[in-house]
Amino acid sequence: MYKKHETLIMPFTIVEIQIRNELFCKATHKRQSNARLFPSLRRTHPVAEADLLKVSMECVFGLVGNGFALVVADTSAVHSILVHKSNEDKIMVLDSHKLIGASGESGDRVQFTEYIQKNVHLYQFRNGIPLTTAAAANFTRGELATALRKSPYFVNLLLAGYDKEIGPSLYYIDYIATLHKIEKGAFGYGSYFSLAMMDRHYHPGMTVDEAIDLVDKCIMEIRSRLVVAPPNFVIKIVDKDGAREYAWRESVKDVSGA
Amino acid sequence: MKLDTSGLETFAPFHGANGDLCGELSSVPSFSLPKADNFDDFQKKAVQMVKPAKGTTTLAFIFKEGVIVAADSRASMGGYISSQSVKKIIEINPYMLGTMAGGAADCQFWHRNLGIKCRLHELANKRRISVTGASKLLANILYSYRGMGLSVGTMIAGWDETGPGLYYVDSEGGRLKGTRFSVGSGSPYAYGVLDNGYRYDMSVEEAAELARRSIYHATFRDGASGGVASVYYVGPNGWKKLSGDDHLSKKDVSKKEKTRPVRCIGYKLLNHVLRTEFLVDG
Amino acid sequence: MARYDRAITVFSPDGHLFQVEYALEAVRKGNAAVGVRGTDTIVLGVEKKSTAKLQDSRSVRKIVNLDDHIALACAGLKADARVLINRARIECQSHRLTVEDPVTVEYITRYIAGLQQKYTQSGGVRPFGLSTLIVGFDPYTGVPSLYQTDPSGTFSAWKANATGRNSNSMREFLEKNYKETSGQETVKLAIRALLEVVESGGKNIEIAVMTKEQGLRQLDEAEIDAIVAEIEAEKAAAEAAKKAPRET
Repeated sequence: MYKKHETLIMPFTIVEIQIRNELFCKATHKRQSNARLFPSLRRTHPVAEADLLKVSMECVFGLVGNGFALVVADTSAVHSILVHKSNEDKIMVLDSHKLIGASGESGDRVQFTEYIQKNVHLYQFRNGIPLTTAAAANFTRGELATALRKSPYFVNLLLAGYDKEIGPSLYYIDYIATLHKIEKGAFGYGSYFSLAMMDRHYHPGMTVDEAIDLVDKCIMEIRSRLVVAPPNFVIKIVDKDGAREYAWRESVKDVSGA
Repeated sequence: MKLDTSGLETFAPFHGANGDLCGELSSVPSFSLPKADNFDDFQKKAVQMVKPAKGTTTLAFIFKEGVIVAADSRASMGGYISSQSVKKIIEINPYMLGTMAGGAADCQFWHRNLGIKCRLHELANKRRISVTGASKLLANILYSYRGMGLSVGTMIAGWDETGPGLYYVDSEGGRLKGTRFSVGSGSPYAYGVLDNGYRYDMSVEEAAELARRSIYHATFRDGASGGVASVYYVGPNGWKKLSGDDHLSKKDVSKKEKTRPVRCIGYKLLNHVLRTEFLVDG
Repeated sequence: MARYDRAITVFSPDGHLFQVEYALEAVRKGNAAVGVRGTDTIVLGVEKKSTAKLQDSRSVRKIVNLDDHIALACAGLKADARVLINRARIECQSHRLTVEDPVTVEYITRYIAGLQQKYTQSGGVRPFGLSTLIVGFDPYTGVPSLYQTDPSGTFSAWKANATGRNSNSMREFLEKNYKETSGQETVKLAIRALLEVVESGGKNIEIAVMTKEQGLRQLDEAEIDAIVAEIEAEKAAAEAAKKAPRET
C-alpha cells in the first residue's frame, strides 16, 4: 500500500534536475562523488572549515536608494601577485531589471552567475514573465544551498533588482547560502571600510547623487586604507528604466582597452 | 591506478548531439582510487611529480593587425632543463593557437582535445568556432576537473568572424577575456617589457619585435625560462609563424646581434645580455 | 500484417514505420500553419481554433519564442509541442552557457529534428505528432531563414512553406504567388496563404512577425483584421477589374 510513495514526484525537483543535467553537463555529479571520496578535493567545505568568514581581496558593495539600487565592484582579476586584468566586469546584468555583483574564486564566480542567468532567462521564456527579484534571490540561494553539501561554489553575491509593484530591493547571499534582504551590504576586504562608511552616511531614501557621493567616499576609503586596494571600480544601477552601467572609477587605465 | 579517459567522450559529442531520453548520468568521467593508505598524502606527492614542468614565459596580445602569440622554448623539471626546443605554442587549427604553461602533458592533451572539438563544431555548424566558444569549451572542461590536480595556464588566441580574440584560461576554472596577457613563471618580467612597449597601432614587425623582446627579457631573469622565442602572428587569414623554428637560428635574432656573435662558455647568457643591451639602446 | 504498427521500432515488410506515418497523419489533421521568409521580416501564421465563449483565448499560443531571435510555430498535437518547446528552450540557453553564443536557426532545427528522430527509434515511446516551422535571423550574419521539421525527424529549409490541415493547397498558393518581399508585403502574403484554407477570416488566425531589430511580435486582432480587410479589398478590386473589360 505504500507503493504509491514511489510515484510521488515533486515537480520542482524534476525541473531542477533536468536543468542541471542539461545545462551543466555531467561535471557536477562527478565532482560530487569525488569530493566525498577525496577529502582534499573538498575545497573549502564550509562545515569542515573553521573560518566561516572567508574574505577575498575583492570589494563588492551595494545600497538601495529612493527608487533605485546600486551595486559597486572592483574590476581586478588577480592571480597571486599578478593583476591579469584591471577591467574585469564582476557585475552581471541578470535580466532587464536585475543586477548581480559577485566576488569569489574566478571560476566559481563566472560559472555560477552565468548558470543563474541562463536559468532566469529560461524561466522567462517558459512563463512569459520575468522572475521577481525576491524569487531570483531565493532561487539563487537554493542553488547555492544544494551545492553546499556536494561541491560548494565559493561565491558571495549581492543581487539588486527593481520590481514594478515593490520598487528597488537588494539581497545579500553568501557562499554558505545565507539570504538577507538588506539596504546596504558589502563583501571582501573592502567591506570593512565600506560598511562602516555606509553605516555612518547611509539614510533611507537617498537620491542618486547622494548615493554616488557615498559610493565615491567608500572607494576613496578603500583606496587609501586597504593595502591591496584594487585600482578600478564599476558602478551599476537598476531602477524603473532597467539595469545598466552607471559609471567607472578608474585610477589605472588599462592600456589594452584601446 | 587506472585512468578513465571517458573524459574524452563526455564533451566529445558536442552538446545537443547527446541528451538521451533517459538521464546521462552514466558516462561521468571519474578516476578510480589508488591503493594508498593516506590518499591526501599520495595526492600531494603525485601533484608534485606533475607540477615541476612549470617554468615558462608565454604571452599574447591583440593589436591593430591581429594577435601576436609568443613563448620561450625551455622545458624544465625543477633545476633540470629537460629540453631547449619545446613547442609551447600549440596549433589548434589554422586560425587558433593555444599556449602552454603548467603541466606540459595536461596542456598538450587538452589542447589536442580542444582541437578535435573545434573541428567537430566546424563540421556540424558549417562555420569555424569563435575564439570565445573554444575558450569557453576548454574552460568548462578544466572547471569540471578542478581540484583533481590538473595544472594548466593557457591563452587561446585566434581570429574569428568578430575579429581577433584572446582569452586566458586556467585549471582553477578561471577564464578572462582580454587584450594582453602573459602566463608562466617569467610573466612578471614579460609584463614589464610588454606593458611599457605596447601600443595598439603597431605594425606586425613592431609587435613581433616587442613580443620577442619581452620573452628575451623574461628568459634572462627567469631561470626556468629559456631557449628561443617563438613568435606567431594571427591575422584574418590565419596564423603564421614568424620565428623560432630551431633554436640559435638567425631568423629570430635581431640584425645587430647577428654581427656580433659571442661564442664562449656561457655564450648563451652573454648573448642575452648583449641582445638586451642592444635592443634597449636601439 | 496486423502487428507492424504496434511497436514503432519495427518496420513493416514493405519498409514502412506505421507509427511515424500515423504521426504524420496527426499533423495533417492539425491546425494549418504557414511561414514566409522575407528579406527583412519573417512571418509565421497559424490557424486558431475558435475559442469557446468562456475560454480565455490568450491562454492558447501556437507561435512561441525559443530564444530572443528564434521563433517556432507548429501543427499537430499541442500537448507534444509543449514538451518539444521546453526541450528546445533549454538547449538554446544551454548553448549560450557552453559556447557563449546564441544558437543558429539551423542548429536548433537540427536539435529539434534530432529529438523527433530519437522518438522514432527508441523503445517505449511514441513519435511527436508534430510538424514545426522554425524561423529566425542568423545571429552572426543576420540572414533570415525558415526551416521545417516533421515527426520522422527530417528537416529542410524553405523560402515559404505550410504544414498542417490543407497544407498542400497553401503550398500551391505560395508556389504560385511567392515573390521576394519585405516588410508588410511579407505579412500580407502569409495571411493570404492562410486565408486560402481558413474560412471566416481574421478572427481565426494568429500572426507573428519577426524582424531583426525587434524580434518576435504577435499581431493583435485589430491589426490582423485591418490587413485582412485590405486583402479583401484588393481581391474585390482585382475581381472588378477582371469583370470590367468583359462588360465593355
